[in-house]
Amino acid sequence: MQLHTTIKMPRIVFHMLLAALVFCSTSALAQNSGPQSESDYYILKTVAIPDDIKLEVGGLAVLPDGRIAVSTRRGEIWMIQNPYGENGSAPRYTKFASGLHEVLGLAWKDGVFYCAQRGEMTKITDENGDGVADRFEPVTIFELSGNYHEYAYGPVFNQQGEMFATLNVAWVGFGDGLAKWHGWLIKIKPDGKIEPIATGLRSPAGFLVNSSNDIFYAENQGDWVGSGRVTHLEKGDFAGNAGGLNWTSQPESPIRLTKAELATVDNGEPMFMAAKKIKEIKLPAVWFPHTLMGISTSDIAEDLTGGTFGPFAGQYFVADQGHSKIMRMSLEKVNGKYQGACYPFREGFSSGLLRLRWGIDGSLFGGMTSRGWSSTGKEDYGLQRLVWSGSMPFEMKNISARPDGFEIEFTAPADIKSLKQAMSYELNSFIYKYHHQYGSPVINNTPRAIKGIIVSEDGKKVRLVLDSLKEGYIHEIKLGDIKGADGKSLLHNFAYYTLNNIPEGEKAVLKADEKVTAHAHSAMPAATAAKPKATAKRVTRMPADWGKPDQVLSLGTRPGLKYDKTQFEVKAGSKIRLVFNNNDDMTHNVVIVAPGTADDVATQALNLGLKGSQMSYVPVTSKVLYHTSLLQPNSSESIYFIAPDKPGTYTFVCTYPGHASVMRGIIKVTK
Amino acid sequence: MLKINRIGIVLPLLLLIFSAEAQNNKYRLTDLPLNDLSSFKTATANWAIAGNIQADYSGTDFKFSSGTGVLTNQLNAKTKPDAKNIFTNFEHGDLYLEMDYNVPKGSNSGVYFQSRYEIQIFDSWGVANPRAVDNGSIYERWDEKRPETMKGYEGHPPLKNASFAPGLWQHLEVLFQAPRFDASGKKTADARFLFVKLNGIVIHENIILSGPTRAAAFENEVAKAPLMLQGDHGVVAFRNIRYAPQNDLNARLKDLTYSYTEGRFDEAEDALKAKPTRTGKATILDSRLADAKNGFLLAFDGILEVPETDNYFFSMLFSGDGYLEIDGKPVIKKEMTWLGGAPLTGTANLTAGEHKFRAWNSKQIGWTPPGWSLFIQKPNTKMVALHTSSSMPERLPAPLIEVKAGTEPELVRSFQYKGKKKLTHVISVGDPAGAHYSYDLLQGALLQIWKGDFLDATEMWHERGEPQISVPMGAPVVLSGRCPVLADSKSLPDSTADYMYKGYRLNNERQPVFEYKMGAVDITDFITPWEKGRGLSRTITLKNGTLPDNAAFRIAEGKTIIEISKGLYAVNGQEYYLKIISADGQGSSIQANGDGQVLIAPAKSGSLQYVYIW
Repeated sequence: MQLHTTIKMPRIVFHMLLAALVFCSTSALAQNSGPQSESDYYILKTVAIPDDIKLEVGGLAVLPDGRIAVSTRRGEIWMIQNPYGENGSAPRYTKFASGLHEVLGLAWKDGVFYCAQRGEMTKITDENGDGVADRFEPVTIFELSGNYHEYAYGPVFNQQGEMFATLNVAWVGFGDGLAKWHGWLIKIKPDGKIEPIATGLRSPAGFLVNSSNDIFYAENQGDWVGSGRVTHLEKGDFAGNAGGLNWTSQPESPIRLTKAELATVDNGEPMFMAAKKIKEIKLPAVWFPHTLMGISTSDIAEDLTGGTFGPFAGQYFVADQGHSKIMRMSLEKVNGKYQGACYPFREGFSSGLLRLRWGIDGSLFGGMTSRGWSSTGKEDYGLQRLVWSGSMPFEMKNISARPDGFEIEFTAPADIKSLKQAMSYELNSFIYKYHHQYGSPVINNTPRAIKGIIVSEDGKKVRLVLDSLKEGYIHEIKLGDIKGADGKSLLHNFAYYTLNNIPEGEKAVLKADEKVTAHAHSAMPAATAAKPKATAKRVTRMPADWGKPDQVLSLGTRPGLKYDKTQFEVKAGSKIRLVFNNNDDMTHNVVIVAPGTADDVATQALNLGLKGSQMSYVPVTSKVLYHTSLLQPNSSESIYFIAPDKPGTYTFVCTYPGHASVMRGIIKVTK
Repeated sequence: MLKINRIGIVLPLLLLIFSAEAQNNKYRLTDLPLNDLSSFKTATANWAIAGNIQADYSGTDFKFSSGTGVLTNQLNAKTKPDAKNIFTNFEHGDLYLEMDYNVPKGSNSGVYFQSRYEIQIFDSWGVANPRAVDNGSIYERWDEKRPETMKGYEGHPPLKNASFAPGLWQHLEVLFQAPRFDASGKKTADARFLFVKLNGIVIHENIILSGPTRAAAFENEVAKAPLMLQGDHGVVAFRNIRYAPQNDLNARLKDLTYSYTEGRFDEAEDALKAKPTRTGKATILDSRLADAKNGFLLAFDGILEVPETDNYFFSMLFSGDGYLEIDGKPVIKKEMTWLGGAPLTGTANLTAGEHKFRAWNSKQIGWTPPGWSLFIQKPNTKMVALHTSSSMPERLPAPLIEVKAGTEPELVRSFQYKGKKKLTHVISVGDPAGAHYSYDLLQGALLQIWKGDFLDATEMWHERGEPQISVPMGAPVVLSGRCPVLADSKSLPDSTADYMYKGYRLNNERQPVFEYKMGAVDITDFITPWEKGRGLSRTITLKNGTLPDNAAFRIAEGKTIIEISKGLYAVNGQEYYLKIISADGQGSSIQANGDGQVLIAPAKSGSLQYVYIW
């Protein structure tokens, strides 16, 4: 996977340059107008792993002496010399410790390691100085019920040096805090006593203390969690999942909220509505819309490199395990609360990205594992490093809220003419349900009309004035054909701003040439909540003249993004009934496509963006022959179709974003 | 009724094993009475019934105590000249057999299935690379006509040496399949050992035998014959001999029709009333007659034919609701289960001949795949499937993930079961010397000890590792698994609440030394192989203060603890030996402990060393 991206991409660039030299008068133009890829700006470097080491990364610590340490799900800690691959030589691995229990967090502090095992926060010391740990002391013991899902993460230290950990809820068909302080952010005092800080955490695999000494954690979609998100946690906060409420009756608990009280808002209204009734509810600072950004937010890293890592100093990078990528997040404080936006950043990691840590050279290490949870990156585990190339990507650098809209700042001056065009912008607002069910559909999706466009003189900023803002909603901001002043295209053209609060302040007074007239505006997509209707490509009732199908194809799912069958054989022109039973815990569809077009159709599905879920992620193209709707977990659908007349190998594929590369099979059509 | 979880549960549950095999492995056992020798054909004077034996791991003979329940071969100068093997009255074909046996140092015996095919019993304590003559081997065949070094052939050593020390009870489980013959008496299939387990460890699986092994009672092969226990070689004792004949059962379904109704129904009864989507004939029960994987009812009607009047046992597994009736009477009432759950069972007294059969499965739970199995069995027969094998989903075993103790000690933390309780803070330590243990860190308690290969971590590291359990690769001796220091020996069984885990250090050999605190006293617990892995030595040391006067080391617990010689104890009726190394046993004594006994020693200060030998 990694080999693929690093070798292939430069080759494309090379071809482009070649073409430019032949057909264009200047190479500068070619450089600026050519198709760009993320790898032009951020280069992925692989840290080689010896063949016999299963480096299923759970924790990662960067040492000031040039080494890094990696803790693994198999309970080992590996010390790695030369991880930066200087002088082109391979990294060197030494087993520092073993026999630990699924170590999902590792920190280096004052010459010793601290790590979270399933049942314990442990201090690990090399007392005799032979480079191998010889002393293992429990800082505190975590209670466990024996459920596999009771993971422990950390430690993370704040600026006072206080130690924090987060504990997963157990999984018993829903998330539950079966053992004490599971579902919580806790502070661990030097004497081992636990001070519970905040609850409502479901799967808090990544958390950090930022430069303002505030704690943020990243959450995964699940029960009570409509989509991935990042939440700022303060003492007494309830971040949404019910499991941890089992322990709010404990005397140490800073929260008194009960499951019974929470049940009163378990009605599918948005979370910000519930928060009006239950004061403990803490809204996420930033929602990461499911599949549109990622599917399993994991670690968070704040860019304190001061520019070594590129133009996003002060912002955050948020990893996604399922999509094997890093997303970007900007935060601002409005009415005293954090909120902000998320943006695509860098895809193409080799496995499920769980840990992010800054290297001493301002590069970003990514530690990976995908065992038990499939990821877009196909490797079982991996260790890579992301390095800024030094080139400036043309990007939306920052989006901030205004009393009447948003201001977008670019990394470089934009072409003012394209900035001023109303058709360069498309805005939608939407939100998720807050309920005990797993995940949520996108709800209340409506376009937001633009009233005015104010462009800064230097072309680096544009302020969008909307006719209305929806407080509490996620705002999708999609840009059209906006070019940089130097002719470069935007590397990414969409972002999602979580507008918990609309800032106070003066609204813009629009000059005549800043006003947008209704007809000048781009055609807004009609938001429709209607159920997908049966179409010629999706016939859900048996045609009356069939009598009975010639063949019934019965399809289910297996864990890890797989159909339970990968091959069918049907006769050309025969009457087929396909029964798809989605017995997985994620949503899936089945799309039957023309031979050799599965990747193309999957890409088109991905590009549908927010419209995707309304269209069951089925793009309008002749390459799609037949399809089911998007099926929720534990639901099924039958479709009826005539097998193609032309014999050949047709593909069926799930086009839900992130699934297509692994979740597919073939239908052999024979004479 | 099974509480059906919400959707997301799918992934973990699917990884559990659902198989017809699990149903087959339930043997309905018959005890072989050992109150006297009447279970056997003529017994020579060497054979006698006893109450128990007592032994030392270095002694070549047993002490026998009077009583019943133990069959002993008391081979001595007096009995030896006439000593012969012993044969059971019962004759067997296919058979499941389990038993405990015990041999003193250097002794030799054997269990001969059908008096012909031997599983060897031998003192193979400490043998690193067992051969076809060692304990648990399938003994070789013998042919004088073969060249000198080739006379013995087709012997099978055990896959690994799962033996315990001499004088300790060992547990054998065997599934044997007899040879088959046609009407003319010509052999059509060889005998097989389908599996042999010694002390819980599989040592043979699916081994075909071309004929009787050496020293069989007979050279020919037959359909049925008695079990034979070898008595002319050495002293041996047997107890808890239990068996389940696996005779064929000629039961079948016929005149079968099915009806398939698709749709979402809240209650199975609604589906039964609805118009079927499709009906047809069937030859056998088959879940694949349902098109959909969920949202359907599949029903079968027909005739069940049984060969004899008897009490029949039924076992059925499916996903959703299911029901079985015979002659209009429910045998398995409507109940919900799933393929990873327990099969539902029922019994019916049936006369020889035909009976009306009806069974249905209503599946309205999407998170588990469809599948349907139904077995019938009567006493002393195999379970016979009334479904086609593809009616159940294919089961792929997870590949083994083994942790080996190589050149340095290996440590693995995991969950482990202690009885039915899942312990969550367990560490297992594998030593290159080949003696390993699991230890509950919170209690400082030794849970189990074993030898040979170290640890199976498949259930931890395959996929998500939902059970998060590790399992010994060798035959374990399971200990009482409780805290080794008591603050107050007068308040047995427990006064260990303030025994605080403080971590561990690795010594120069990288073996862990566990650290605890009780009050102000620092306690270390060091476990290391003894005599190159013949046992494990444990040294508990108290430092920096003294414990209260009543404090005690809890050395061993069991139903019985017998002092065999000064400082050497047999625990729990010869399950393992415990030897106190510290001088004079440090004032140790055996005391009553509930309905059993406990070996304790005063623990004010200093240290105590003792050794587990097995």
